[in-house]
Amino acid sequence: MKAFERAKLALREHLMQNKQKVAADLIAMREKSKGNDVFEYIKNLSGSYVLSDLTTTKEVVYDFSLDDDTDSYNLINELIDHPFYSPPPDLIFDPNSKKDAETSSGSFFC
Amino acid sequence: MEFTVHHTCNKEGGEDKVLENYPFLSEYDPKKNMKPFLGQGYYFWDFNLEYAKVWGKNHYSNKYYVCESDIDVDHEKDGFFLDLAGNRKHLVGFIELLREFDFIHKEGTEGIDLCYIIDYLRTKCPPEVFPFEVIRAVDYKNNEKIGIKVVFNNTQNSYTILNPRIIFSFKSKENIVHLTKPSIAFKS
Repeated sequence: MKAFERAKLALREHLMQNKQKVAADLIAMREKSKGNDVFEYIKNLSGSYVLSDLTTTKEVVYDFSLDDDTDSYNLINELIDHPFYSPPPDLIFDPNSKKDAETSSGSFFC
Repeated sequence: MEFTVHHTCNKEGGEDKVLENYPFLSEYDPKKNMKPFLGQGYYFWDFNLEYAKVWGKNHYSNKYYVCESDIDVDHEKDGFFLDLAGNRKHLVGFIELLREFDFIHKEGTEGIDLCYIIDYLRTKCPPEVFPFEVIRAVDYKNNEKIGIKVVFNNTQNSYTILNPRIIFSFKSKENIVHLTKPSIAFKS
């Protein structure tokens, strides 16, 4: 069949002359072939975005309170009663105390 | 080469109007996700009234006609008829043609639907790349259980299918040569 021989030669010539364009077209066709028709979908979406098309879900209020079976304790009250992270007594700020004397940097190495 | 073919179409317009305009073009319709198997064209079932009915039931909400006519396809004119259903030379020639795309990228046409490949060859390439006006192909369905499969003998697992679905796609209406006046073979 001569038609196939002619077709192959013509196609090869076309491909050589339009290599980048054909490569991009093949990628686009492969994407479309996945069944999602991404390009058409996006094109159609831009023209069909009306509020009536939008679906909304009903607001659901979740109850995050703990049931009686859950072990819990009142951390805030415990922190007030027992200040775990309070500074050592000698570092508690006293507004009446005077500023410490300046210490020279060399004294740290004594 | 003569074939008796069936064409399923919408009942819209009534019998006279349908027969007057028969056959109808199958086009891409992204909204309905319709992609004609062998690209845009005029489609027929190769002598398959039963499946033409199934098609009508599924695609025309059971409101359809099945038209029938005898057609003649010129199989001697080089580059006119691509018979992917019954001609091994044509199959091999077509595959070799597609392999030309491997020069562009090692993946070639892998993963690309046949409908897009045919349309690309027809519309984006020079006319001599794909001159075929008529394509004939078998329509297989993945994982299909129905059908008449007959094993040849009990020594091997080889079988043949006695009721393949074969489709015709004509690029243009002008190339359809009707040997008989089209008629309504079935109405739903």
